Amino acid sequence: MKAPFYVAIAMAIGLIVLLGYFLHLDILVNLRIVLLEWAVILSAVALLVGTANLFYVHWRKFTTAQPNGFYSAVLIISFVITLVVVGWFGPTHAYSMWIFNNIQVPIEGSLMALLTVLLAFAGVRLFRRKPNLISILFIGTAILILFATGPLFGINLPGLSELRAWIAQVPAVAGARGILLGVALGTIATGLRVLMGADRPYGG
Amino acid sequence: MGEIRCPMCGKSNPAESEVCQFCQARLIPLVFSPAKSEPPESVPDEIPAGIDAAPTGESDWLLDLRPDESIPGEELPVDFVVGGSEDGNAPLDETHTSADDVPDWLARLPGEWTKEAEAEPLSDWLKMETGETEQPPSKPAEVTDWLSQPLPDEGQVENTESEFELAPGEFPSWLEVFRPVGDEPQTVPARGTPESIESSGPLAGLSGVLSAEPDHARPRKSPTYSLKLRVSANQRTHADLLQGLIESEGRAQPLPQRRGISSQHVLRWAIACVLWGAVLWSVITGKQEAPLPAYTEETAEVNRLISQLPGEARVLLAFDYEPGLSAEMEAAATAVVDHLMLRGAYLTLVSTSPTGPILAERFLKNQTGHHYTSEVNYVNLGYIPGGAIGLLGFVENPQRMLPYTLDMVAAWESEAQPGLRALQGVQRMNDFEMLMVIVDDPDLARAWVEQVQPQLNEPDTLTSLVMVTSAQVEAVMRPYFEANPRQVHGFVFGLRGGAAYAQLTGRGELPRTYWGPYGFGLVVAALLILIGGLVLSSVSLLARPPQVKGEANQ
Amino acid sequence: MNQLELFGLIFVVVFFGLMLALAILSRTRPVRQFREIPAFTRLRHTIGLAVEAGNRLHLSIGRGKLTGPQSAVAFVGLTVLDRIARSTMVSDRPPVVTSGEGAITVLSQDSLRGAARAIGAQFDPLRGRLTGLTPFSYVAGALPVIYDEDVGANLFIGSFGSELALLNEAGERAGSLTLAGTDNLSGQAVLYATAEEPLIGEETYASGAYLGAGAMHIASLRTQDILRWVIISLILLGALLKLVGVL
Repeated sequence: MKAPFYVAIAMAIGLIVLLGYFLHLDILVNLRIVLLEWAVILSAVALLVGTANLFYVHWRKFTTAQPNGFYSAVLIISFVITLVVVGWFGPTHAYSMWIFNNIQVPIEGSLMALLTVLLAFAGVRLFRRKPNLISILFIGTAILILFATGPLFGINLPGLSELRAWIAQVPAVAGARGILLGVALGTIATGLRVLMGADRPYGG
Repeated sequence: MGEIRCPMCGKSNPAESEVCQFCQARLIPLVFSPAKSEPPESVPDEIPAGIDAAPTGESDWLLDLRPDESIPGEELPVDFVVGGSEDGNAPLDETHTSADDVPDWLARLPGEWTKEAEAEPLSDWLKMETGETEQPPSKPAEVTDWLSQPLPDEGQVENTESEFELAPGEFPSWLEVFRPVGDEPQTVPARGTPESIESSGPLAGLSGVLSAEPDHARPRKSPTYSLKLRVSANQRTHADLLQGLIESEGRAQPLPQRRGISSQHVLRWAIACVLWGAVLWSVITGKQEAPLPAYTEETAEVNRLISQLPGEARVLLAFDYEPGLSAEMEAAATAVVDHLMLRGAYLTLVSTSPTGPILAERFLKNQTGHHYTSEVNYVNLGYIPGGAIGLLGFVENPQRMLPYTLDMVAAWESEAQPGLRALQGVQRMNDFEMLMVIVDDPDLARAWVEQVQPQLNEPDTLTSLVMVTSAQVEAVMRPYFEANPRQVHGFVFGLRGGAAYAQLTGRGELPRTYWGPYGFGLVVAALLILIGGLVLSSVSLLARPPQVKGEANQ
Repeated sequence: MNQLELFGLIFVVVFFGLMLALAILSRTRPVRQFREIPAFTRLRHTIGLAVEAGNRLHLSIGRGKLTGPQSAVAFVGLTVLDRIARSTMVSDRPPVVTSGEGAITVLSQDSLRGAARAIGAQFDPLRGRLTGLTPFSYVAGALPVIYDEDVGANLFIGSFGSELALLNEAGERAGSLTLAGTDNLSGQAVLYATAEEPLIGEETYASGAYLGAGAMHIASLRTQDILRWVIISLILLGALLKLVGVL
């Protein structure tokens, strides 16, 4: 009995928002605005729910002595400290900024630097893993862009910058557009399936 | 030449045959003539030759069954009378009883055979059975001929059995396959062989009769059937496999050990050391200073637009990048925001990312040479929840979406309060002189363009939209700049764009500091990928075992 | 309603009608087989192997917000979760789902609960978890799942950026299969080089059809195929007209 009710709600609200976007009828527009505001509120609440879930997962991992529970304890302690400091002093206070500037930004920056190494490693290995024309084209383009983006020890190879600009403006843009069009079609299809009730990622 | 069909087995025999060649059944029935028969008492002592003697009037079928030759050592029963043959063979049974010994009841039976006795004509049904139509009834002499004729040998029996006719005890080939191993077929003696001659009972001495003691009733040792199955090698392999699987089910399997150090680990560390070492060396020594790149059209447009801003312009500045990419984004945006601050613009900071407001605060505090104060020179409205929907809501009604600053101060102008200076006179998006989005994600960049554009396209709108993006966004966002009319009025792409902007304005220390090591790192990375890829591919090609010709051709 | 909005509405209506018509027709006529995508073939094999070998499946649905265009690929991830959860919930090690957005986490728990209820298994809410709110913190939280929870296969189907390379690399170091698909361009570039079985472009959106999620999934995939060719034709026609000076 529950499932048809959920589906009916989802379909009705989806139709109202969709039609409200295309048809500029006052009632539809107003309804759309109200429903979207509700969605924004729910999204913010979902953020809090997710944060609580994160805390609970690591709390249970620590209290049930699961492998690497020590790191869960570090997370819980950091969570509590940050919550107390930022909640008490405010997000723009020096203490809050210190936590952000000296812990979060360096850690995430390090992960980004690690990503650089991993991508270089993946590029080195790609020839061996997928020895085909596409891989050669992929790596060749990557190497060309890398050479042409940087100063290249001050050496100005003729045509290199123009080639880089052409690659960035023509084939790269064309390929990106093609993929984006395909993704857009997929997005529309998925949205319509949810509107029709054929896809029900809710209600269990 | 005519043929006669045997009434017992149905097979064809030559017309002159009296006995079936296949089953030894009588083909020509014995004819009984009661009018010319002698009285029982006048049974002769000797049976004249050629006479099919039935002095006592015994039944024909008994006479039919008795063979011509007697089996040595066997005594025929008293009641049986064996007829002689034309060639004068002695009767088979030398112990034949005389007429005096015949019981009275048997002697009174009509049907004495005499030499002159005319055989009764065959009944119609017999004629039909035997195939005779107008064949004269056989004479007694003819009748006795078959009795005096020796039994045909086994070899004389024509085996005209077709391929679909089986000998007794023989199984067809398809059934033979299912015979268990060790179960040998029991041979059944063929008819007509000495083994099939009845040895006891009233039919003793006759062959081709149903045994009084059938084979299956005779006591004998029961056949033993082998318990062994016929198992092929393939079946044995499968059975062993199944047994192995079942036995291993209860056994605990050892966990796979993670290798401590492998060649992949070594390669990763080598790449990391080379890359990081190159960049560090360049930063520490400062030997890789390189000239700043030339600016492009989209970068020049940004510079022009900012230069044309009026004094105390209100600019909406969106910080929509993640902390992990803050190094690149700060290097790309620092010269641009510095230019804005030089123009004295009032900044309104927003973000659709939870960490955006803090990043914005960090960014502004790092801008040296400017003393921008919160709620005086800039306003931080904080985080816009809800992603693209929230952004749409903010664009349509910013006061409703973000009424307070990050420090919970009422930001907007209202009847009760004048509002903060940065937001005075601002009701909608196109009340800002410029919208600048600092973004690292292509999807987020597109969301900003698509949500803001409807308002910016309204007539008499002078608001310009510019973007400072990560280098990875260029392929997605460039068409927005190259469109006609432009949807985005200017771009700064990545550190290269930021360095070019720094060259334009002559300000911005951060991109200058990064540019040299950045370029050096790019070249080293490119060389690593090129040389490392070639070496690795060559090594794997050389290490591959040579293909056999047969395999290559397959 | 301006011209663009009218065109958009017509496009959506045509899309909807085509999907419906193809779904109805598929009941009476045999459906043309789609081209083989090795990733899905290997996925079906891996799911069975994971249940038999007692390994866990790790599905990550990305960090796409439910209130944005990235929600579509997140729904695809939830569809895949629904399909595999029903198959693997009876295993000794039921699947674990990680995500980088709160609403997606709630929906993933809902899917797992439904699958557990359908087969009468016990539901553990910790099987669906949020691992971080920023892209790199989300990845940092998902890495222990890959290393420590005996994962046999990793499925990354959602909105991922270039941080996807860290997840793929972790999966490879742990010796588990990595199958990845995203709608983000940077993510797709990265996963081509790092994932064992990448899903490029629209292949991610075909997951439902290839995993037997229903007739409507197949109908929508066929509709996408048809309209893609229509768009290609329009682009070529427009380019030609522009070249000759008509436009």
